[in-house]
Amino acid sequence: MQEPSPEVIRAAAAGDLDAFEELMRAYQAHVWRFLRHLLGDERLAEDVTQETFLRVHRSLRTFGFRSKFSTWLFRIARNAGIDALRARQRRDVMLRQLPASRPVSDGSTAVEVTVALASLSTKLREAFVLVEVFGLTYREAGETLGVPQGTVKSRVFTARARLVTWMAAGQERTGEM
Amino acid sequence: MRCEQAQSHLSAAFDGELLTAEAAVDARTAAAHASGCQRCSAFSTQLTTLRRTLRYEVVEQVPDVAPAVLSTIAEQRHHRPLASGWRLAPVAAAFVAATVAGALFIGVNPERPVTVAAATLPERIVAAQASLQTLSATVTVVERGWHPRVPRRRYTGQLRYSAPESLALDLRDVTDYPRGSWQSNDATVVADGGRAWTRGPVPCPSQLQPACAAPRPRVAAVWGREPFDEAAPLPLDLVLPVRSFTLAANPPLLGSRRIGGRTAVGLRTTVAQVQPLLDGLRSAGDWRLLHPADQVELWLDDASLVPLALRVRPAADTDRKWWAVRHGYRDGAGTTLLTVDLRDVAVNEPLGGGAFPPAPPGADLRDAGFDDAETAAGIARPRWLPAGMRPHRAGAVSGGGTEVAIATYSDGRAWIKVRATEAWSGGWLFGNLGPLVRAVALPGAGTAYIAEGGRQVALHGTGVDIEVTGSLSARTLRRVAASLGVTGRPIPERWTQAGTATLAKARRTVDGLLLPTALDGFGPPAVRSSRGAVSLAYTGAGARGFLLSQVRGQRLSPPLEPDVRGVRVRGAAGRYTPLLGELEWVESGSVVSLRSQTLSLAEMLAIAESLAPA
Repeated sequence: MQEPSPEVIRAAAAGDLDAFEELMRAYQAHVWRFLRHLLGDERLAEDVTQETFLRVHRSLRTFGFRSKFSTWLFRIARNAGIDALRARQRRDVMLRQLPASRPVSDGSTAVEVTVALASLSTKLREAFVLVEVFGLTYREAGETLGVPQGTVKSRVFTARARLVTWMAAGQERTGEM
Repeated sequence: MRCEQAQSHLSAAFDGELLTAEAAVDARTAAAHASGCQRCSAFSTQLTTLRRTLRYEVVEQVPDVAPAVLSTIAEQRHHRPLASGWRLAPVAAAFVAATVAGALFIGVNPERPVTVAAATLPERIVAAQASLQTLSATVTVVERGWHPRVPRRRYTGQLRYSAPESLALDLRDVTDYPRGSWQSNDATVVADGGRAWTRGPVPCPSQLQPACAAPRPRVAAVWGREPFDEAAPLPLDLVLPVRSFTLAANPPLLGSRRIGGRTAVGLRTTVAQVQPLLDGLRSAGDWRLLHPADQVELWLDDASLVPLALRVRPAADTDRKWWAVRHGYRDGAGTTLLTVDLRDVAVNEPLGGGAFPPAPPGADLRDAGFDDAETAAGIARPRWLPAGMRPHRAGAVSGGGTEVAIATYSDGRAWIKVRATEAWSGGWLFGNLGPLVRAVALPGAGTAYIAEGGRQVALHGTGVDIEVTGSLSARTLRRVAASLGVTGRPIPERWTQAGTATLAKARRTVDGLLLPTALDGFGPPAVRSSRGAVSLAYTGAGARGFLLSQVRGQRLSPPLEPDVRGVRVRGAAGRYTPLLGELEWVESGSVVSLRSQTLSLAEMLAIAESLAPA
């Protein structure tokens, strides 16, 4: 993931809406994808993506260049996502309503993975998605989630082990592959 | 090593997390374990499957939340006390140019356009030039939506013109501004042959007002102006909108009515088309922005075709609303954003003395480098000129070490300019033709290159390079170029425009080359063909134009801009990138792209639908 230039961030922080729009356009797809995986619901992900950028706009001035912009942004997105989950108490609902995500390009594996992903706990899912989907390092994911990188390592591994088990079970069920 | 432990190391190694020597050793041990363990090697394989599935998933429709977010931010700002600064960002003008227009002729008036009587209107406007010697009028302007605290600005002033290149526009800002030091937008433009000056406020974005208002206006003066200088064009479309209507399709007519004791004929058009006129009006001062697709109602004097009234209203589509949000405008549907009225119009009556006053003292002075002379050294008088054309200013200008001789001819507001040099260093065509040109054979004069829908003609002769421009039709300019006694040669292979092709060659480059059918209001295309790709540049009236490109291929390249929309084009899935004004799709083994900064998506889709194999 490309980092924006500091000038763009500074301009956006100073109130330049064109610069802010540039940031939004560069990152909204990433944020939405992250939230879609985190929340398991495309519609909700869209709402929370909006909320995320409104929060980003409010707090850009506090961004101190101490971490990567993308890490900082995911942290805000993640917090907004968790708030949404709490506020609407959707977690249980969501688990009963799988799958909410659209089927993706390569057919059954993708659907299977998406469903499996939604079955993980939020803690496992958010760590795994940041690393697996967005390629964050354990340290960056740890900064985003506010946990040590060792925790990220074990959560990512646990998530993977469960997903692999799920996929293997799926293959046994259908007898394919 | 136990399987779970090994898999944990494999997982970390898969993420490249081998930060410590210990981790690297663990990873190697785990790999060794996996090579002999079916479960762990299957786990390794599944890691790859997972990643391929998740990281490289195809996401088809990512929602665009930017408009909603910007809109919410704008709302919040409007509800905050304005003293804290309404908006800090200066608006980037380039960004405006890059924004694509909304739908044409939508939502203003559902009545059916009358086109019968308009058949000759563009031609009449071009022809009327020769009959216009002088013009004087009082001008009133109303501008809406410039700033949330100043919803309406009013101006009154005078317009005077004397053919061919003397013009004065003096506008006084008579707006009732709220209390505080708002910058008055008094604006003056005066040009008289080789000298010109402007007076206007020091630029200060409306968002920063009134905080940055400067106490004194800025006055800039230039002498040694090249006749009909393209770099600082005279606002001639203000007295007769020739540029807006050469190449124009028949505009939808609004009928006729009396304006200020004159019979006026009304027509409907867009900001993109009358850009030269609007630029003329706003060549000094600080004005609100208008969108290229905004609707324009223009009333012309039926006898002289001088503009009498103009109204601009916002286009009604989503792109336009979006653009307004981005620039901080809150343009209600149907609001008249700009009103221009010319009254006390006198055509071809003597102007009083002092119509074109010299620059006031204290102006910033600049020498543009043109020296008037009796004749232009090295340019033969064209053997053919339209009847009534007489020599106007001639002389020489030197720029970048190249001495250029210039001869001009005029008749009323109509003009023709011949620029020639014997010292052209090459690399590209002499003149300001751009990369896309059209090669044509001139009768008895070799090859000429034509750009801008015919408004510029270039000749690469032996020892001399020539450019012919003017306010007349493409045919007229070509005839003048052919009569200069110079034989044009094809340009060398390495020059920028050497990829120029004919349509016949283009057809051979791309099988089933698509061309627009029933295209009205654009000149013949400039064609460029290289390495299996064909580009056709179409130029229309005012600032209107588009580029049609086709290249063999089965799929679109990855998007260059994050803001991309899916659209249906010719029954297939296509892609529209608003920021680039680009519409792309794949058809019969070719990737087709339509690109325009001045046409709306609706217009581009209409052109796309009209495409047919050549």
